[in-house]
Amino acid sequence: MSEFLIRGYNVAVPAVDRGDDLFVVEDDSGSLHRVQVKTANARPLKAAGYAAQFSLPLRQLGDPQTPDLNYVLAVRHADRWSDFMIIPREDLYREHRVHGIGSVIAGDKPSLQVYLSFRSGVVACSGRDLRIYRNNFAVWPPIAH
Amino acid sequence: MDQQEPIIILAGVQRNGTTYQLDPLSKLRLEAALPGAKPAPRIFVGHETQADFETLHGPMWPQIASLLTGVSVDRLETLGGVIIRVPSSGKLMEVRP
Repeated sequence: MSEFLIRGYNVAVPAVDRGDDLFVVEDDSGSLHRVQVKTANARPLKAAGYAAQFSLPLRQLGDPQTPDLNYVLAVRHADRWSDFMIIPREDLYREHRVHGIGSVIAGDKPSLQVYLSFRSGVVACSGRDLRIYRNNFAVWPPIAH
Repeated sequence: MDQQEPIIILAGVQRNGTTYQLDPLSKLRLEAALPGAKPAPRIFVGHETQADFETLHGPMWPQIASLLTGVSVDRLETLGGVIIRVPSSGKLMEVRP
């Protein structure tokens, strides 16, 4: 939340947890951005680096909405929040559909397991490099008040 | 990909309207087949109730398909036709010219 506030946005947290974790608002224009935050504790990798796994609802991932959803995948490593992977839903779904990233867990509520490894500046997921999304808050450029 | 598989349009049904967007694989396929087309990335059409989604929007689907692909539905029929898929329910509906 603090990152959005520093950038000049307002932030609202729903009173009831029904999916979206945050609403990020541009006060001047009224534009609303939906954010879902997922967290994971990283574990070290044998050959340097670390990895974290996230689980995302598959139906939500493939469901276009207006305003659309942005995922913030927060990684905790070495007692601090080391990385924020900021990925628009549409981008993550494309990566899954076109490039096959993640593993589908079938069931009444199917999910996509996304395994991210952080090593030498690369953020690898199922053979894809997702580093462009690492700590990239460009969806929310700073607003001057 | 089989060239006769239908183009898939995803329909995210919300309380006040539906967001339409090409499935990523269909989008890739169309970009290869129709390099000059200039499609809209997504379209939101409002409705008063969720029940209106099929009754109100149904007749609009050919126009929505044209806007999302940049070409006519008749042209899309030669590429395997178009279906609407609602991710939240899994429902599939054919778009007829």
